[in-house]
Amino acid sequence: MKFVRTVARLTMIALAATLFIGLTTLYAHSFGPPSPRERERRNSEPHLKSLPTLLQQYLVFGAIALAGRKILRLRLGSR
Amino acid sequence: MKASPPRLKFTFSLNLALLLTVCALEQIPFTGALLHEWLGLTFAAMIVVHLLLSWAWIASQTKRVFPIQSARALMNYLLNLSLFAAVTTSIYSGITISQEAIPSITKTARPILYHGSAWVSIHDQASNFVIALAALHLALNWDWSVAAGRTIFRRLKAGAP
Repeated sequence: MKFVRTVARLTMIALAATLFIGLTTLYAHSFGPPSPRERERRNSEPHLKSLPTLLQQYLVFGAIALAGRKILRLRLGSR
Repeated sequence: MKASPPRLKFTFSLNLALLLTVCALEQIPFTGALLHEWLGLTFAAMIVVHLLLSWAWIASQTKRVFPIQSARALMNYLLNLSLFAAVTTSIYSGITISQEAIPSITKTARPILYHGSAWVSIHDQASNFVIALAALHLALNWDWSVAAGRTIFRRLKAGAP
């Protein structure tokens, strides 16, 4: 019973995800063909030198959460 | 907080892992493309578990929102739905442009990526939205997070598993 319930929930998650994937694909098709001028290259190996930017990312994340809490007054309750 | 301590501990650890991962995913220069892609796939799996664990809340909120009962409930619901949409978009576009993980799983050739191409742009934009919306999601669930953290810390201090 628990297995069936989990599968049903996973199906619902997959259906909702498919809806958004469909919309995203429609949006992607609205882009023109890419101009093959500049290839996108990303480093494969990690670079520990970039650790400060990761810490900066956590600070930005914290700042947005704090702003959501204090300025937007986000709460779960109905009050 | 009705969750049993082991489940609470698992949920809290998962949420903490999601928080750490979502920021690390945004920093490809730090992780490198290979780790970024495998971390992204792990993140997708963690999101599914997170949704399954939060199912009771999702179901109750869906019932509360339709018909609309309060502006706050509607705003919270839309925020979480937007986060789900952004995460889905980010994961799917990431799979589409994957250079390391997906080609190694499917044994297919790496797609050629051009700067500013549709899926690269969508992936970058969706990832930025994920960071902002995930932070607001944390703000929304702050009380739960603090209470869960306190409960777990208190139990650890008392020597309980």
